[in-house]
Order: sequence, then structure tokens, then C-alpha cells
Amino acid sequence: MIEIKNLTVTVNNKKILDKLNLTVGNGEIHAIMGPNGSGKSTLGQVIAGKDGYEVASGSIKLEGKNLLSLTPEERSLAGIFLGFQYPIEIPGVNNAYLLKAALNAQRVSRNEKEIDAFDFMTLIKDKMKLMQIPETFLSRSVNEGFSGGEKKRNEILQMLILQPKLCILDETDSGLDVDALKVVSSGIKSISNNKRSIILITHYERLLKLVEPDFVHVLSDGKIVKSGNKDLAHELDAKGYDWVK
Amino acid sequence: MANNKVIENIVENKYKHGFVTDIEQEQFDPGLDEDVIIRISKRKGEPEFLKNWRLKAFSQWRNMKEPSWQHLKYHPINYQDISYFAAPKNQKDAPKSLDEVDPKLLETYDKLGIPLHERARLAGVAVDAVFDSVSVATTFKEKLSEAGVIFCPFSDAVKKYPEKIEQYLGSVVPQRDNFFAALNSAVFSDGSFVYIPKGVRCPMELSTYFRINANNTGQFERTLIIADEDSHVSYLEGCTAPMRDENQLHAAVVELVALDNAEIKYSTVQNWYPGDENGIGGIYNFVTKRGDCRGKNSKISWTQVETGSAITWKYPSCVLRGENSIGEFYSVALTNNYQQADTGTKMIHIGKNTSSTIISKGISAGFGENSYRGLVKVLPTANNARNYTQCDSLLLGNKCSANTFPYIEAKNNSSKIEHEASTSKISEDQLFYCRQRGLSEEDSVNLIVNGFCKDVFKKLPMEFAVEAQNLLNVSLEGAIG
Amino acid sequence: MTLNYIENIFKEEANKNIPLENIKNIKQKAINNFLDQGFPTRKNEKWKYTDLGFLNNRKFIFNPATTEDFTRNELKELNEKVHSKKFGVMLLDGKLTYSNLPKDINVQNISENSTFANNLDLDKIINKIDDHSLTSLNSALSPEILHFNIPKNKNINDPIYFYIASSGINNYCQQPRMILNCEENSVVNLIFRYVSLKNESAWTNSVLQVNQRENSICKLLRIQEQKLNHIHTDSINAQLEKNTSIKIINIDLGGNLVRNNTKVNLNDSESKCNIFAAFLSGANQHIDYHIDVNHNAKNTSSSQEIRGIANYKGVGVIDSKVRVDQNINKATANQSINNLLLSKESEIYTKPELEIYSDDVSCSHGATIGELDDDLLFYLQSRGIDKKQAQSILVNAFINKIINMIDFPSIREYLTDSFSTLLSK
Repeated sequence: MIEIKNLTVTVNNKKILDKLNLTVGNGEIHAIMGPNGSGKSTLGQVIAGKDGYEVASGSIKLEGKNLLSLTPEERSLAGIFLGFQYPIEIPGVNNAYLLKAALNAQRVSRNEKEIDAFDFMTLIKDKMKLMQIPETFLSRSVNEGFSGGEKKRNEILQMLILQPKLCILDETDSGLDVDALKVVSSGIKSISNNKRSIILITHYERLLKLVEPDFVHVLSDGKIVKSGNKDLAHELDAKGYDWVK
Repeated sequence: MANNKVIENIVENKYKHGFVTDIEQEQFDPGLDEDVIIRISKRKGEPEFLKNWRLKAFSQWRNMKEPSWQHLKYHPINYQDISYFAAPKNQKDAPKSLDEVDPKLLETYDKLGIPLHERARLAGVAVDAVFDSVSVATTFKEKLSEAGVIFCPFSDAVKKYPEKIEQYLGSVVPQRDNFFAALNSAVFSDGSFVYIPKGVRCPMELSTYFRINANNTGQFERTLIIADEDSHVSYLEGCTAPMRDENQLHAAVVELVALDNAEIKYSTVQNWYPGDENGIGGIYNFVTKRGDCRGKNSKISWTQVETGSAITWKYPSCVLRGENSIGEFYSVALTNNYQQADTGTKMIHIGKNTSSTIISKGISAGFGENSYRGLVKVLPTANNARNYTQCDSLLLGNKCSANTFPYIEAKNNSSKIEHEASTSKISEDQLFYCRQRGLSEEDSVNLIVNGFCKDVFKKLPMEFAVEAQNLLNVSLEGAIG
Repeated sequence: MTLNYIENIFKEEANKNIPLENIKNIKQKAINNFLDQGFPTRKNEKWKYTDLGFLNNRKFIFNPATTEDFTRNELKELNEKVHSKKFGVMLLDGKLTYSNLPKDINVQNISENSTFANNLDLDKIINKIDDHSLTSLNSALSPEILHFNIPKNKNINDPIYFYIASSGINNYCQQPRMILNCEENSVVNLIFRYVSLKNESAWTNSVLQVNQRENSICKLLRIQEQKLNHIHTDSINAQLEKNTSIKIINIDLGGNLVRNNTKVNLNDSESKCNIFAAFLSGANQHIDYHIDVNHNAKNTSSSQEIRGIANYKGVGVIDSKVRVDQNINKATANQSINNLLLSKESEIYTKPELEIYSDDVSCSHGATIGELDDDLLFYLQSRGIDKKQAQSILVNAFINKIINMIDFPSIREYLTDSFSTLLSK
């Protein structure tokens, strides 16, 4: 699905990612763990194409296609979804509008017809139920006045609707209570299949108990310093990050 | 900045109302003196009092100076180069019904998107259309008159209801209120007159479309709306003009009077020709709009979307005289290319328990200059007056400017005034978020800017809200920078 | 006081008391500038709420024939106060009468020291700051232009007290003029106290300039407690270079008609200013703050926290403008202005302005005018506190936001008491 080779990224001449290599196959779930400041969030944002990062070397390919020359929206339309760690508020723009506009952008890029209001409502109703999001939410502004948990559930809802190929979830589990974590993980599991790949960026093992990863990587100082299976996450939780350094 | 280009693309807007309608015009030669004013008055068959009123305004205007305090730069206006009267030729035997209106004119309104018969009827909107300075058609006369509502061209009102005109004209905006109001008082040629009788809720939205067509003309319309006790009216105003290289002057006066428990909602979508991308041409829009909440519990609400004009100078205001009266001002002003806007409001609290709300959203792009100027004044009599003001500015590009000049004057200690303002560029994080969800940069900008203006758009009548949103998107074309 | 009258005074003074030719030229320019503009009136937008046109009908003396009697009690007291400070400076009627400064800090009277003056770009230092006619008047007629130099790397922790005293002779106008030059990496802490010895109708027209070189830090506390018959106009003008910071705290309790102009130019990157101010405008007082912060370089930041109280027939004015020039990236500015109206006759005028010519900015302002919160008053009263005291507690809470920014506990305490005393009058 995605192949990252020798990726070196700097911000203001400071190295954040250092010759990072990562390959995620179709249908695989990878977890990326690591201490604060290790470059986890940067990795997600660079894949999604955020401005302000200098890619000094290396490549990122999605299904063999070079991503680095694409704009954020082109990457999105190519199938990349980033669940933000801190989803931003957009005052005055209602959720339903953004969701529909995003969905239609995907459809238009696939030469499909834009979805009409009725079909759209049918489509999102079930998914909203799954994410335990009340209908009133549709007319509220994007993320405005949402609690931390609501914002994260909203991210997953967007993911469920856009049906991306590669889901990158940046600390989607942080700030969630046990119940919300269950809702979020069931959302993730519902979209997981043998084609779609998922990268979970997280600090803690608790999400990984609910959504079992095939691989676990430890990121430290911009490099993957250790990889393993889900047992690695357990070990990290018990021993802390110093143990892998 | 990655988004520079997109904003530029968004700004390069093509003005779609820039056509000229080829119909026979009767037009005065340029120039202004007492004789011209007498001719205008005579041409319109006005009573003596009105002629004298005009002449008085003219003599006052001659002793006044053009204001210079505003944050605007423009070529000096030569008031002798302007023609002060233009009208479609066959006006003498004015149309009695829509069928008699020059088909070319009707075509113009079609082009403007204001089909006088069909769509208006469907929409339940009564339209008075002012072409250059003359009112050409008012729809829905019958239905309105059943309700007792008077909605007619100003010049008709002068003939039919002279006592009302004499009573109210200039009672909100006196002749010598300011330079442009004095000029308008001297030379105004037409406009709309509305009277809502006691206890009547106007059965439909009233609407006026203003169109400048003729060359070298100034447009000076005069609107007077009186809402008698316990009445309610919603009034819409739209404006367009052809594309011309020279600047044209528009100096209108709007007076609103709300008596006890009456409510007037006045909405404007101003889309005069803004000039080209080099700042050539465009309308100079110097407008005085004021509402007088004369009665207790009265309410006047101004909503404006200002996307057109080379220069915009307007401060729709409320004089809150009646106890418990309410004034509101909701504004979106967009300046792109070389457009300049100095706009805002005045809320004058005189009566007890009066309250006012001001929401202003300014968007500057290209070389645009956008200033909010507002006055909140609480007089010693206005116990428990309340004001809340919020003005936010968004900058798209680093050649434009956004200014905030709020004047807050409180002379009553039981008043509470809150003012908030912010200025920033469009958020990179918001843009990235939208683009990550697959929206193009242009769509993302439009989405965010429209969101920014939402608090104002939601105050517009439904039909206008959609139009305003589209207008904003068109006006923003090429604006990311 | 016609402009003619002032011109004549200038001519006399210039011939008599200014020995240096180049200073004479500078002063000539300044007086011309003043005469061109005259006293500021409300026709000038910046003076919309404070019209000094009445000065045309008053007659002030600019250089009294006799110096004040130094044995007078008030003066003696004041002298003792200044002497008791570790570092102290005193100006009486615009002239330096005492200075006890930290080592290496020297003070020069530019008007008299030709070698020193010749090394300075006088036009730039003195005349370029004349942003309104009163600074020009000061440039032209101040008896001494005092230049304080804080040398490189000098870090002075103990505050230097400046007592700026007006003898208060009837109809006398004093014009103190101070220039503070903070060299690279210096740190300085200054307290300016404006006082008057007699309550005659006198006028203080003061100018204080601060020039900050790279990496310098300046903290400036100005407390104005002149007598209630005095006119007090003063200008603080700060020019900041790279990576500098200035913190200005203005407190105004005295004076009949007070106008403070505070202007800060952030001329290079990483410079920042924090302005705090509080006034209490009581019976028949008129206090006007006019603040200009100009962001002339990228990565600059400013904040303002201003609190005004008007009581009885007091008038308070706060007109504050933040300007961000073209092509200035990453400028942040916040203005917060809060006003209390304590009585029926009091008036507040406020005008928080933003003038922004760059897009990469984050600027905001908030302004409020109101009376004390009824709910809070009620709450306190329900706890057994009488109304008067409850009011005083709330006003203190309001003003403490500013007073707490002062580094010195004794001054904080003193000011809290002063506000309370004035309010209980």
C-alpha cells in the first residue's frame, strides 16, 4: 500500500525524521509508538502533505505512485486519510456541509455523480449511529465546541464516509474515556478489511488491545528503532521507552 | 505560501452584471446649479414644498466640504461633470403595468436575475426596480394594497401622499447631515417609498433593484420606509451597474422610521461594478442610511453584504430613541483588487433599556483596503443600555489591509458595552484540514470564508443568503495570496 | 497664550540660554513645527476627546525668574525621599537638581555639552519623534535635554527612581526632557514619579524617550500623582531594536487634565512590548491615554492591558492603536481595554484601533465599559460586607490586574491604598 524509503524531514533546519523506512502492505494494521517529540505526528502530516516540512531526501509511494509532488487534496483523493490529533475548529461551516463536500470531491475525482441530499443522509445515518453521534451534530460547526471525545469520533465518522485506502490515525485514542475508546475502536474495526491499511499512531497500548495491530514500530529521534508484533506494545507499556533506546 | 496562486485565481473575478442596456435615454447635461434642481423638480411635477426643500439642501451643500476623515483614497470628484438626471425616454407616459414596461428593460432585469413577473411572483417578493434614477416598475401592487401597504416609486408617493413625505422626509437624515446626504437631498430623482400601516405585517418581502445604466450619470435615490405602530416589514435592496472605465457616483439616502412595537429589517446586497483588476472604473458609493427607532419596543435591523463598488462609504445606523428599542447591524464587506471600503455603523442609545448588536466581517484580498468604522454612543438618558460588538477581519494576501476603528462613548454608568475584534489571515490549519478531506484549495478557501461570514448570512432572507454566498465566491475568485 | 507669545518667549530664551549653535538649530526647527500646528484641538483625530485649544486663552510662564525656595517643607520632604533611595534622580521644573546613579551610568545635558552633542544625530534624536505639537514645544523650550546612557552589558536590578517635580508656581509650565539610551545587552528598571509641590494651576509637559539597542530590556513604571489643579501632558516614545523588550506601566491618579501619549516602535525582529495602564479619573478630572504601537518588523509582539475608572464627574479616554506595516510576518498583538463607570455623571470614551497591512498576523482586541457587577456586589453583601466596602473590594480587584504587574511590593501596596483612598473620598 504505502512504501516510505529513507525519508528525512526537517523543520527550520532541525531534523525531525531521519532516513525513516516503513512499508505497509494491503490490509495490514501498523502501530507506531514512541515518546513525545519522536516524530510520530510529523510522519502522519508529511504523508498527508502539510506545508512547513522540508523533505530533504527519500520517497513516499502510495500503490507505487509518488506522493511527494502532490497537493494535500490530491493525496486525499488518492486514498489517504489523516485522523488529526487536534482536529481544528472551522466556525460557521457545518459538519454536514463539509462531509458532503468532501464526499463529493472523492466522487467527482472517480467520475461518479455527486451524491444527492437524500442518499447522503441515508449513508451517514448508520455510521453516525455506530459512532454514537447525535443528529443535531450535523448542523453544528465543524469541531466547534466539541469535547475532545466528540472531535475524535467525528474524525472516525469522516473516515467511515470517505472510505480511504490508507487510514492514518494520529493519537485518536488520546483524551478518550473507556466508553469513547470502545466506540472509536469499533469504528476503526468496522472499516478494516483485507485491502485497507491502517497506521495507528499512539502512546498507549490500550487502543491496540481493542484494534490488534499486525506490526508495532517504535519511533525514536526520527528513526524506527525497533519493530515487532503486538507483544512489543505490551512490553513497551510495561517497561517504558527507555528500554528500546 | 502554497495558496497564493489559488487566492489570486479566486480574486480575478469577472463582473457578470457589466452589460449596458441600449435604450433611449433622456439625460440632463452635466452640471449642477439651482436651475438644474428646479428642472429636476419640475420634470417630476413636484409640489412647491419639495422644490424649496431641495433648494435649501443645495444652498447648504454649497457651504459644506467633502469629508476627509475616512480611510479612503480616490480621485477628486468634479460635481460639475456629472449629469444629475437620466431616465428611460418613454418615462413621460410612465408604465401603468408591467406589460407597458419597455421589453428591453425587462430583459435587463432578466439578465440581472430579477424576472419581474415570474420569479418574483413565485418568490413572493414585491419588486421596485430603479433604473438609473427612475423607478420603472413595481410589482404586486394589488396584493400589497389589499393589506394597506404602500410600496411605490418615491416620485409617485410625492404625488399621492405628499403629507407623509412632508412629515417624514429628512426627519431621520436631515438635509445638512453630511456632504453626500445634502447633495442627495438637492438632486435625488427617485427611489422607493414604503408605508406599513398600524398592526400590519407586510405579507411579502419588499425588494428594490438599483441599476446604473447611463454614462456620466450619478445615481441619487432616496428611500423612505415608515413602519407604523405594531407593524413589520422586511425590505431587500440589490444593486448592479455596467462596466465602465470612469468612476460613477452613487449617493443615496435611506431613511427608516419605526414607531411603537414596529420592526424593520433592511437587507442589502451591494454589487455595484467594483472596477477592473487594475482599479480602473467602478462605482463610488457614498451612502447615508439611518433608521430611527422612534417608538418604544421598536426594532431596526440592517444586514448588508458589500462586495461591489470601487469605494464604499456607508454607515447604516440606528437612533435608539424609544424605550426598549433594538438596533442591529450585520455586515460582510469584501474588498478585492483595488477596492476600498470604509463601512460600519452608529448605534446611538437615547432611550432606556435600548440594546444594539453589531457583527461585522471584513475580508480583504488583492490590494483591497477594508476598514470597519463604528460608533457606539450611550447618552446619559439611556439607562441600562446594552451593546455587543464583534468585528473580525480576514486578510487574504499581503498587499491588502484591514482596519478597525471603533468609537465607544459611554455617558451612563448603568450601560454595558462589550467590543471584540480580531484580525488574522486565513488559517493554514483550517485549509490543510479541508484539503486533507479532499477539497480543492479554492473550495477550501470559499468554505472557510463563507463560514467566517455565517453569522451575517444567516440574518439574510433565504433567497438572498444563497445569492450572497455565491457573490462572495465569485468576488473572491483569484483572491488567495 | 497666542502663538506669537510663545514665539517671542522662544526668541528670548534662544538668545539668552542656548550656547550651542547646533542645538539652536534643532530648537528652531522644533518651534517652527509647533507654530505650524498650534495647540492640538479636537479637529485632530488623535485629540478628538481632549481639546487643548483653551491653552490659547491661558498664559503660561516658561522660565520663572526665580528658582523656588528650597527650604520649603514640601521640597525638603521630597529631597529626603529621593536621597533615601539607593539610586535616585530629581528634576525640579525640568532641571536636574540631584542624581545618584549606578556606576557607569552617566547623564549629560545635551543643551550644554558640545562635544557630547556633536556626536549625536540631534535631528533624529530630538526632532524625529515630534509626532504632535506638544513634543515639539518641549523640544523647543525644555531648559535641559538630559541624556542617560546605560552602557553595554550593564544589568541594574535595583530600580532607579526619577522624581519629576513641578514647583507648582502659578501658571508655570515645566518641560522635563529625558532621553534614555539602553545599549546592547543592558537591563534597566526605572520608576518615574510625577509630583507637584503646590496646587496652583500649573502645567507639566514632559517627554521621555527610550532608545533600546539589541538585546536590551527596559522596565518602566510611571506614576503620575500631580496636584488636582495641574495640567499634565506627557509623551513616552520608545524605539526598539532587535531582540529587545520593554514593559511600560502607566498609573495616573492626579492632575486635572491629563494626556499621556505612549508610543512604541518595534523596529526590528524579536522585539516586544507589554503595556499596562490604569487610571482613576475623579471629580472634574479628565484623563486621556493615547497609545500607538507600531509593528515595523517581523516576529514582533505587543500586548496592552488597560483599565480605566471614571468616578463623579470624571472623564476617561483610552485611544489605542496597533499598526502592522506591510510585509511584516508573524506579528502578534493583543489589546484589552476595560472601563468602569462608577457614577451617573462620569464618562468614558474608548477607541481600540487596529490598522493591519500584512496578512501573516494575529491581532485582537477587546474593550468593555460597564459598572460594577451587581451579582458580585450582592454576593459580597450577602456575606455581610457593607456596600461601600464591597464596591471598594471589587474596584481593587479590577485595578489589581495592573498593579500586580509592578515588581515592587511596597509600591503595589502604596498604589492599592491610593486607589482606595481616592475612591472613598
